[in-house]
Amino acid sequence: MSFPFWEFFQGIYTLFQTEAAIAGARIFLIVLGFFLIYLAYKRVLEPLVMIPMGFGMIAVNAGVLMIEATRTGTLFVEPLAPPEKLMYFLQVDFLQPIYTFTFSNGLIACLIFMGVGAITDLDYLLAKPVMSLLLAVCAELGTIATLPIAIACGLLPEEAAAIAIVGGADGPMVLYGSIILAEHLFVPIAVVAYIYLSIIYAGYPYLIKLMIPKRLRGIEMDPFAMPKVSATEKFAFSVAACGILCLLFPVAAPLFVSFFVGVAIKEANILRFVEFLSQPLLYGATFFLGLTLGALLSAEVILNTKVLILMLLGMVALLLSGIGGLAGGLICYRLSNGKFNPLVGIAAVSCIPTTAKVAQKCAAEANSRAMILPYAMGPCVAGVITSAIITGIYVSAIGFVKW
Amino acid sequence: MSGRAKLWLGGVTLAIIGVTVARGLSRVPDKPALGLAIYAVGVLVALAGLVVIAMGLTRH
Repeated sequence: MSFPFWEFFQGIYTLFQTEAAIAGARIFLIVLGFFLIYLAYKRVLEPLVMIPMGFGMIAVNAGVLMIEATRTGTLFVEPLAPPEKLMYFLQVDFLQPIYTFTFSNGLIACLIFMGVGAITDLDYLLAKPVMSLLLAVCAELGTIATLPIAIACGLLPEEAAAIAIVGGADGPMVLYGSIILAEHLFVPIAVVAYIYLSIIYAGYPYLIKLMIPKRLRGIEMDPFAMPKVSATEKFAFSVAACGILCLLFPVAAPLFVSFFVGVAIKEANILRFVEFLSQPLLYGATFFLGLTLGALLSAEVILNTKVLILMLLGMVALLLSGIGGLAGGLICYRLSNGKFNPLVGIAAVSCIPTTAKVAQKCAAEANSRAMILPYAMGPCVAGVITSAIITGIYVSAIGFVKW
Repeated sequence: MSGRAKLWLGGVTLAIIGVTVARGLSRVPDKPALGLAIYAVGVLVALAGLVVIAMGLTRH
């Protein structure tokens, strides 16, 4: 009788017990996980999400074992657990409680939005509401234009809408929208979105240099010329905006209430809640989001034929949104007779506050005295709101058309 | 009535009209395309109301 030596090393043993494509995909994802962690460590990618995600990817693809005599599996998470077996998976898979109780109902997106709300300042949005919203609408070009492109690529309308939401450049919105619209594609869409969002800081400056001449990038804007907005006014606006937007888009109401309750608590100066929402809640949710997303990215997921299309469409969506935002910035430049720095437009793509920082960085490179960050924060916050609105429209309207 | 109060009142009125059109009237027509168009108009009117409210906030 031969001693089953290799069966003691099931991570390796299972590589030879599955199809070659699955084994190859596992090795690819392990290598990709190492690469993502390296890039995040070097700050090329966003480390807050990418380091936990990379660890999750490595672990879930390396830690495969024989669950039964002929079936392989992991002890991480089962995204499509049937209800009658849910209790079994909750007791066996260590990330299953987090996935079941925070991912599949969109709670994780709402927790992140509460934290984002608690660190968001509405000053600039309220000081320049028309300009901020005009730019934010322009920067939704990717979210709007990717929908028909994705349908033309053969995706179903719900799947097309889910990937188009990547153009809004807001991770929580992508999570929330893809869970409601295309749950079966939730994992690849979320992973594609977070990888692209984490490289925005490195990628958008090239688009800016391509579209905006250096002379315009260096236009100075007076940061002290903005009207002051009191905390009471911001508090009142957050309550009114939450009520109106929830009435308009009940399906996205959890996102709106999460964001605006964060804003309201900050403006009401309830310091202990602000600290809780903006520190442990926001960063705890972000950490488990990264780890769980990584653990969901198993070999079977990337062998889905739609993943390549989703990767291309995600890139198209973010590229078009960037172009739309900069085009909006150029329109504002014309309307203001050359007093407006068009780089502010890129901030309207949202991804708060990354795009605003990109705008400031590129402006400072062109002219060290150009201080546009205060102006860029208005469109950046407006971009969060318009992304949530478009997510609400997609979820409501696509169901509406079918109905 | 102050200019600020007028903007607030106008904004809230626009928002109520927009919400009523988007959530109520859009379900009346039989054709989905027409319903969708009415829904879009309602959304735009309500969002315009929100902008008017924001303008009222910063008017001193």
